[in-house]
Amino acid sequence: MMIQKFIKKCEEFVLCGGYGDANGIFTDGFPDNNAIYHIITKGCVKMGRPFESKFIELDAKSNNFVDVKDYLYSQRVYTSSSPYHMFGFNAIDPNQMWDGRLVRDSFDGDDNSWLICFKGEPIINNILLKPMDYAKLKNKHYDVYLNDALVGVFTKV
Amino acid sequence: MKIIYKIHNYYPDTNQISVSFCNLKSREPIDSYASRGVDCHDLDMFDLESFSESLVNKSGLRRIEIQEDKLDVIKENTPEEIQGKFEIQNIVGKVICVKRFNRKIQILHMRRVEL
Repeated sequence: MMIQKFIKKCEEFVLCGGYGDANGIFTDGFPDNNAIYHIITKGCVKMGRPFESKFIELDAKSNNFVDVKDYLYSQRVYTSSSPYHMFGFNAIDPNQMWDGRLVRDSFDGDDNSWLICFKGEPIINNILLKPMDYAKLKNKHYDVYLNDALVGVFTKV
Repeated sequence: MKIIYKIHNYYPDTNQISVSFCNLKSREPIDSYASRGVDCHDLDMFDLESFSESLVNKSGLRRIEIQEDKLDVIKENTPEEIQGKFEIQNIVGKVICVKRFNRKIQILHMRRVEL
């Protein structure tokens, strides 16, 4: 079973990521894992607290951008039913709350927000983005040609 | 443990650097540590963070492991904050601090863009 983890500290947040094979299992949790959103671009992963029957199904095809703030201070267990590639959006300060959403169309930005391209090659304000490109937004309009890409916007609240 | 390094020369023809390393809290200036040649061909050139991580993994850890790490940082070793697009020429002569992550965790290659 192969699991590889990645991490990048950006200006106001930390993005972690990982990929692995099917039938994998790993544990993670506070304070190492502050993920408040999970984004999955490939495969299916279940996440929950150890020994709880309740869990979240992350699915690249049907549930690929998931608010997991409820698990912020918890230990978490993850299991994969297929090869996967997923990310976690973490606040540097866990007390700082963020709202995240998927970009589906053109939108008006603000200077409390960051945009991250997780998959695909969208064109935003005539700029071609690649996976793992990110940008600080401004108070202006953003023209989006999504091109089936997976793009998130995260706003400090 | 935090490691600093200083590239004293870059040789584009052979893609090699001469670099010295020491612990961030070394009591001696980094320039007092011998610089050694390192081949850059197998280093991660994606950005500064990735480059630094791979350089330290390849050469730095081995060279500083005997140094003490419970000392204050002296003025000459205070690392600089580097921002913007990574260009190796821009960091020659500057003191860079590398925060070591668990080796099982790699750097996620992200690129900041202006929209």
